[in-house]
Amino acid sequence: MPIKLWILFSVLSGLITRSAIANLRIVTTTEDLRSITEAIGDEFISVSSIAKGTQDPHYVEAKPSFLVAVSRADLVISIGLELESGWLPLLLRGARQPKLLPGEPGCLSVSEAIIPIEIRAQADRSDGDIHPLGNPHFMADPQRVILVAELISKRLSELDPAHAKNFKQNLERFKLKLLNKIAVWKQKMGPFKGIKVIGYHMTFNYLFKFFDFDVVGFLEPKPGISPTAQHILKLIETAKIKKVKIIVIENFFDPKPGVTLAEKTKAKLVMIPAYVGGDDSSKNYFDWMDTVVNNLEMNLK
Amino acid sequence: MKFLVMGWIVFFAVPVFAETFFYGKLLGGTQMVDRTMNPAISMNGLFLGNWGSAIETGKGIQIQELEGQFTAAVDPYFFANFILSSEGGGPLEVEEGWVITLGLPVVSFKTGKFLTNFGKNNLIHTHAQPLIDRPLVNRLILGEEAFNSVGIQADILVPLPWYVNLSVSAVSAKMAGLFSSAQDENLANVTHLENLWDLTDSTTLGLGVSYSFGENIQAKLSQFLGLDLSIKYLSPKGRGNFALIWTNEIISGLRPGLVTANPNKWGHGWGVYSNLMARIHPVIWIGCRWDQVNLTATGTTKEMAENFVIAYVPTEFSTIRFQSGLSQKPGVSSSRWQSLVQLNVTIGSHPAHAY
Repeated sequence: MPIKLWILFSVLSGLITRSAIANLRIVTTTEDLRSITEAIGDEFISVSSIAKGTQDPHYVEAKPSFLVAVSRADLVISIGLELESGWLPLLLRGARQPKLLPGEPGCLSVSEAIIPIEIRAQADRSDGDIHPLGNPHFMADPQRVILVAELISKRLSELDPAHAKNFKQNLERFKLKLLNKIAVWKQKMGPFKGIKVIGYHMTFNYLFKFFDFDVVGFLEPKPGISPTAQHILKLIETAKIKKVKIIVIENFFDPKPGVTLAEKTKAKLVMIPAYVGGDDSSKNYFDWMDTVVNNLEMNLK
Repeated sequence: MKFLVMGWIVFFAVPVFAETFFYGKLLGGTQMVDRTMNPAISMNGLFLGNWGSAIETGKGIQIQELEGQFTAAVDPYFFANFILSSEGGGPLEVEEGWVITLGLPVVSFKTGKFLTNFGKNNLIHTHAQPLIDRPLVNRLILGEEAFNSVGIQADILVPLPWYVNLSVSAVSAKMAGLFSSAQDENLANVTHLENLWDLTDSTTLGLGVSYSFGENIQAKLSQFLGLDLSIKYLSPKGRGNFALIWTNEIISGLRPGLVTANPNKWGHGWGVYSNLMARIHPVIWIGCRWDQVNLTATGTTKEMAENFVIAYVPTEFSTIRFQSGLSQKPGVSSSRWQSLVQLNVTIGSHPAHAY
């Protein structure tokens, strides 16, 4: 074989072999999704997240470096329910990869797997920055996360059938660990069923529902609207009347309104990471939920 | 005849009633079936008050601009955006109306009337400008219409480790002010190369170069060159935390009618602006811009301006801004001043702005 042909053959066969063994490249919109996808895909995928755990995923900037990452992905996994509507469409269109457009196998919105709470038939911006299709913060509900994990495993298997068995095994392992953890978390929070709580945004509504907490108000007068002095005054009255135990604030928000409220009432202020990666101890989904539950337990005792 | 009329009523009314009843029950009284295929529709309203010796026309309170936008995927292959606007409450005009491909890897093609990819500021609509007015260099070198014409544009995402977008456009050279070619079929070329690097997780450096040429009214070439440099810092924590955006642009132009209104008189000009914006509170932005433009026809003249702005941004959908500044113009011995107040509101589903 002439030397030139031999070189060409080597290069082409190298490329073919590389593409055959290449891991699925996945971009998730949030760190929660990254953690779960990583648990299921394990060594057969490479995954990165656009939003950091310290960021509010409603307000991520569609940075060009994200666009480059998305353009090289085989699969983009998002939360949906319009959580990322301010920036993800720009990245998906800008990436110029038809396989990643909505409706294609490379585009997965995990909200397909769950039934959300707080769906609104009528929506108006005078109600603030609301999500008419439902509250998108369902990753704080471990039961719904099981459904999300199943959907991710199914899509990974469709895109990489050669490793479908591995994905299924990893899914089963993840579910078993999560079910055990759910039992532990439920046991820890059991004594506090029905406690009155005030949140900042609607980030933890699924979590509060999961632990049967009673949400009596939010520091935001309306979703996405910064707390006002008048609203805090009203909340002070509410907190006193309803005997609110804790004020739960996502750790990336300004704590001052919560501090004021806590000082004027008997409620304790709890700052917790809102997402995986939201603090140093929340490296994956289990760590994050442990951090959240331990923080709540410590402040409720 | 009576039976015929009744027959028609029954024929039309029953299906309409059945459909309304069925979907009304099924979807909880909402009209989701009708609306899901509608484009995203939004309206921007810009209401302006301006005073000062630097304002030559249109002092006082006015409607600065009303803009309606319709955006949707056409089908799996195309995405469309139509923008109609009215300046000063005047007649509606097509500001943009374009279709872009979705089904091609690496490259996208846009066709229609669009803001052509030249520099930074040319791509920004009036309601999204960092200050209330546009930089001097854009207004004087590129003119009011600037690079907004009918044509076709290819955008290539160059496969490099950082973001590189090469944009090549062929647009009608009849663009007002810029080329004003006498021939309908003449095309102008606009090329833009944009690079953006993440220096850190929170800081991005942008560097761009733009070049455009096309046949003008004298059947000679008009040319424009642009360079832009930007640094953007956005705190990766939370919502509405500290942000700093520094944008600089230099534009040089050679075209008839640049310095004087006489379209046969050649003029050369170049100008620069430097704009610094900072979010100092979740709902407050402050900023300043320095402008300088040098125009050369028979002699060289220099025009300068310095402005600052403060903006209250309670939500993504409303902004109140106050801008004030001084400007120096040839032939006017003392500095002139201007103060502008603007209310900027958006209703409906407005598409996200590019980075």
